[in-house]
Amino acid sequence: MRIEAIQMSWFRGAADPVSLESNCKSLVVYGENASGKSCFVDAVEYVLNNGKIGHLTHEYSGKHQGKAIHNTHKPKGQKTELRIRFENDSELKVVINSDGSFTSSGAETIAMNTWSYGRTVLRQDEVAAFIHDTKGGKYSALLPLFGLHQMEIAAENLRHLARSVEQKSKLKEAKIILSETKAKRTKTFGADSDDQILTKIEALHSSYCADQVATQDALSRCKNLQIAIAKRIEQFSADQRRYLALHEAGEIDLKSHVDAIREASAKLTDAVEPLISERLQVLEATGEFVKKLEDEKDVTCPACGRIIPVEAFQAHVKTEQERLREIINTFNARKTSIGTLCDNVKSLKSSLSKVDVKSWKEVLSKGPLADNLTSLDHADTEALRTACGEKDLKEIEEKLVPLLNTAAVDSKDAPVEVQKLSTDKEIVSVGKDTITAIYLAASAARAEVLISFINSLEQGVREEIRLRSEAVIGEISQDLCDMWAILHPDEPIEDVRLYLPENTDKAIDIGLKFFGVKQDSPRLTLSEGYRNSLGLCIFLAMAKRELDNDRPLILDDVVVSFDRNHRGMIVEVLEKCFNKRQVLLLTHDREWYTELRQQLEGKTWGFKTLLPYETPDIGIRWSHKTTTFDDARSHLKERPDSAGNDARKIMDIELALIAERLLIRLPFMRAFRNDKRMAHDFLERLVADGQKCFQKKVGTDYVTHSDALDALDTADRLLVSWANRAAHTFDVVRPEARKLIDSCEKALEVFKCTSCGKAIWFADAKGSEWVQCQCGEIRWRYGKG
Amino acid sequence: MTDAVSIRMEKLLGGELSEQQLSTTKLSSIAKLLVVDMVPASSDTEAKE
Repeated sequence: MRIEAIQMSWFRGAADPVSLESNCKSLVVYGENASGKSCFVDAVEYVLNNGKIGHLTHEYSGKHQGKAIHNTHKPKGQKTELRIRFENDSELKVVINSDGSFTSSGAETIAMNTWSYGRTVLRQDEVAAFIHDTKGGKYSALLPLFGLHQMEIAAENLRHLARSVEQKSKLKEAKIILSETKAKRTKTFGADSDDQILTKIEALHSSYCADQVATQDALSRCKNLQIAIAKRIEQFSADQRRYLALHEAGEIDLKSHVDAIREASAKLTDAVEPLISERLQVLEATGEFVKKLEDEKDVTCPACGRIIPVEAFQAHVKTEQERLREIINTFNARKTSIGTLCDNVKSLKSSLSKVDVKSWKEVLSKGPLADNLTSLDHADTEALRTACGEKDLKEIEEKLVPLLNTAAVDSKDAPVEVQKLSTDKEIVSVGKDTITAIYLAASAARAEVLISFINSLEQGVREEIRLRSEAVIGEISQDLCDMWAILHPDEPIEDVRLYLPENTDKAIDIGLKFFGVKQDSPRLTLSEGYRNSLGLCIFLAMAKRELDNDRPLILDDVVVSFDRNHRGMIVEVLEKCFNKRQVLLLTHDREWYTELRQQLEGKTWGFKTLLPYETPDIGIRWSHKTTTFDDARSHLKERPDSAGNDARKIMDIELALIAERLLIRLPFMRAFRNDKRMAHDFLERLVADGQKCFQKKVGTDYVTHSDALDALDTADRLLVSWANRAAHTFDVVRPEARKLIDSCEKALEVFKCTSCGKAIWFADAKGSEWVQCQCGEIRWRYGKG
Repeated sequence: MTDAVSIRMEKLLGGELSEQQLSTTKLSSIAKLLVVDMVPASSDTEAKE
């Protein structure tokens, strides 16, 4: 979809409606700095980026950039509007409110919303932006060209899904429970296998529950056993129950867990508990984070908060992970021991709160362990679970351990049947936990398999993305290489290409060969000018891939840092690669604009010139001419000497190009002086050669075009006298400068046919001897003097 | 990997998972279904777990 016109009213520098009419052709727009060229680009960006203009995003422009969008001198009652008309006569109208927000209407609103600003517009300050962007940023910019958006979404969803499965299956919690159960199992069953434990449970079931069906599952057996054992205990005598309660209390192990916690705590002395927990979470994300880092110089480590160079960051994260791995294990071991200790204190409280041991406690309460009993009564196991410090451990060691030691001593002579029942009860209890843990372990294993499966799917999708991306970036790289070769023929920077860095997802970078040496980034060796040139090639290579979309390309002053040789080759790239696409080329470079006017085909290209900007209430204005003499005229009022000097500079450029087109022969001068010839040198030769070469058709004959030669001669004489004076003594007055400008403009017009409007070099005539306009009314004897 | 998981994942990848970035709630509900799909159908006890 080509743009036919962009019209602005009171938008940025525009005042009354001003329209950039392209007639759906490609267009070169020339304007001095601040003449308002970029306002047209701003208008396109405003529409494409939903009311935002990148270079206006700052603290002073307001939420919707309202302070920068409107012309500062907009009269009350005037509306700020944009209209973009397309080749099918449809129109997009945007009315901008005072705060910068807008409403839009028109059939093309939706169509234009699909245009990406980054692949439609390239501004001067954005030329090298792609090169300077991060690898991830480059990937994001190119991703829409790969057509892999859906796959990228799938990969991201899979990554998050794996995490959801981990949370949903409570994998971390399961691992803690399994660790706790493993310790109890080892204590009760030693190295017994699962089957041996089940056999023991089955045997106990046969003994205690002989009257029940034997086909129940292991967990049900345990539950039945616990009921049966409880019934047996009920049948015990008071003495037997006391023995049993004391025996159970005496079996409880507090000391080893207190020691384990102390040992773990000693290792964690330097680490602050809550921070470790946070660090563990942060470190998980750091692995992903570190992959995305590259161009920043320094980075703050999210795990420890230190500022470190980015080069060292990956190594730093790895060291942090290694260093914390041991602490992680210690931390988890301590957590497990605290859990078990709390359970055991709870069991102790439960055992010694039974009625069966009431008399035993009464005896103790009158002796030296009275305080110990009080301490047991006040023990808060849940508080202990969340914060277990040295003070708590000492309390347990000094108050509770003596209690269970006493219980163990006092139950030493317990009857055999009590001891057996106590042991059986322990087997059933731990057996039940073990069987539950077997199921839990199976569930955790399934979750791990599932997570691994989802991760492998994500990797598969990412690999597919990589493969397809490689194919696409291969194509783009070929275009990039071709364009670079046009802009920089026979230069020692070659093999310019995009590539996917190893071992990094969602990343793209640019490689090249610099004097035969392979480089992973243009930032290592290329000068700023070359980077800009490369940035332009990348933009164009990406845009070329969108040929089918037929969107316009807008290039706003992108050749500022290009020297003349490289700038000149851009035309070749545009004509070779974008001859079917609309290109809007904006420049403040008068020399380049003049060259483009000479070089580009008028059939597909239009040329427009903006008048120098005067005041906000006058706004942006077009010159009625395609030449740039209005630049000179704009100085007539205040600086006639500048006006005259500008006219001379314009003639220097224009005549150099004309002389080149007409193959005018000039005496050879040494070195760079050939490139420094002035308008007078060309005019003198054109007038002299023109006597034989410049002809006008009269009837069926050709005669010397005297009027044209007179115009050239007049311009030459004025340039020699007034223009030199303007340049050196600055005493040219306004009428003189005006006459000089008019004469120069008239001199240049003689090379354009008044009938067909085409230049005298438009077509060859009579082989290679003559060139002529389209209709043949004027002609020049080509290359003859 | 169970067949149920394979079939569900195939459908998801051809549909929702590739269409748009899913919310945490949606991903959580899919995760729940997948966890259930992982339980072998032959074992009633494991299914209850």
